[in-house]
Amino acid sequence: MAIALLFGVFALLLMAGVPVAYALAAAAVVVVLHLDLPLILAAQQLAAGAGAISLIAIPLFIFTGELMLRGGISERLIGLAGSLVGHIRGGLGQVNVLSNLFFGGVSGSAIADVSAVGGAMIPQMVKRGFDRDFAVNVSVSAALVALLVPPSHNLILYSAAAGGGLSIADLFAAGIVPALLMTLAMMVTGWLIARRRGYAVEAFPGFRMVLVRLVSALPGLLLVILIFVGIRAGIFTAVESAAIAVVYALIITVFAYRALRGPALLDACMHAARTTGSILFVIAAAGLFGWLLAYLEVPAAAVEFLRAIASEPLTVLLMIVIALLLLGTFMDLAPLILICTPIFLPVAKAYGIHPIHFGVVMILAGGIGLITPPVGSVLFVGAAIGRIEIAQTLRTIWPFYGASALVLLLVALFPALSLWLPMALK
Amino acid sequence: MNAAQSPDSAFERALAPVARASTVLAALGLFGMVITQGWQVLARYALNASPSWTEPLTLICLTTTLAFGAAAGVHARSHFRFPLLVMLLPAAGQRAFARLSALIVIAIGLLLAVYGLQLGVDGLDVRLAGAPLPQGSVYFPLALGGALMSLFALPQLLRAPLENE
Repeated sequence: MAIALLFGVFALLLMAGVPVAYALAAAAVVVVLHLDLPLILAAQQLAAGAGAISLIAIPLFIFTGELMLRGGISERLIGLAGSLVGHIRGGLGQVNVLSNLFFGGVSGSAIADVSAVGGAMIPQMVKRGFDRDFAVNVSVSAALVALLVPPSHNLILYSAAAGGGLSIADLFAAGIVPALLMTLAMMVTGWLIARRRGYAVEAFPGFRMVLVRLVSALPGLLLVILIFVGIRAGIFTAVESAAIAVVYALIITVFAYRALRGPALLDACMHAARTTGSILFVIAAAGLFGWLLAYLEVPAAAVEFLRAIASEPLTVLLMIVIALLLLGTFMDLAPLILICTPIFLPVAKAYGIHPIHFGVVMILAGGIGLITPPVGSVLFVGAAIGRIEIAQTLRTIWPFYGASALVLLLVALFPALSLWLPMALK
Repeated sequence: MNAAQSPDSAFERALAPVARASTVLAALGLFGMVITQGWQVLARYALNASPSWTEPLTLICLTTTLAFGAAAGVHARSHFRFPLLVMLLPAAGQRAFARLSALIVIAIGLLLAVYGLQLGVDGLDVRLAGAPLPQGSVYFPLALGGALMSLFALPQLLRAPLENE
């Protein structure tokens, strides 16, 4: 009864348009009252939900992304991608995908990516004769790449939701091959569609231009390397690396690029403060929700339920993937990770699925939901930038859905794709 | 449209400076985290000493950013939500759900304000591990942030904005 109440109230409030964090907290409070537990426990667990030290990296990486986004780094990364792949069929579409790979590492957020890269690329693509639906579909699908590239805060969130025992360095390493695979899948899909629609090919700007743009974009690329190598080599913890990343981003954007001064810098700080406050409150409320899930022994019940209907780890993993794909269609990625990890991770572990592999699969599956209606926040942002109806993008987005589903399936079926690099770097 | 810019909400406009102060406090929390964690790295490598106070102080900064940033998000109506089903309703339905949403925010804000204050006061005599600060200091930003959430949601309860406002 209490479990049904918890999920029922949450779902109803979510559909009623109540903000996710407040819907999570309110559902938990209703169950706390139903169970006759003291209400002060709810406040205590909510505070504890945001009190994990590893979570501190999340606001700081978001702050870094905000500084880089407004400080001129995205233009330089797009410029570099343009000189590298702009001459391949589908031109700006390919640039769009590669920019997401570069910029994803900096922003760590699919929505930030589609706003930054899509905001710059979609109007350019339309101007150069690409159809609006293609421009939007490439942009929103390519934003999936960012979910797995360091310093993706989704991986840190997963580590925290898993109890903090999973190495963030291993998770960052595990995301790289799947992210490259997703980049390749999106570029091939874009190329095939561009060929069928007969889009023009642009000239190669020459190696000299590639070098000039590489030098210009180097500070942004170095940030990703600094974070990845710093954590991997044990020089910094993930939290420390996030603080170093903010300092580095401030130095680059304020002093080197001179793009963030006075009001623009203040605006970036204020925007980052509001965004991180909202995300942290979702995390805190999910902490309270997760505490109740454990109190009500939901993870154990999920293991029992799945044991009764499936015996093979692969079958269970595919069932979880389908559940995540469905949940992802109406739930944003952060709450999805925070709510589903405590439920599904014990199941995965019980079937011998590696938690790092499971985390990558979970983020990919939930991420596809970001471009799937009815919620699909990344799809909505992309369509708004491209000024077209969602229905219009949905008529032609299927090849991209197919490509991302194929990558998800490969990553789920072959654990080595996510586990090889963390092992090799040990 | 941002609630603060709405032409028919004098109450929200009056609260705008408070919301701005709340955002500034959240931003100071962000900088606080950067400074304490940056100092931790500097102390370890340059001074060959690992200070114990950086971690608890960073957690206080985190709670400050969380509470005041989330409160400012209520004023700006920027919290993550899924309004698609509500958008399909006629104006009266939209207003009813906007009031329900504001009521929930007020209730959760009050819960944080009341119990956050109680936890803070209860923890005044307990020392925070690693820092010469009372344990209650972690809860006070949460209590104040909760009160601000309720305050910022109040005009939304009264005005019940439509989804496209």
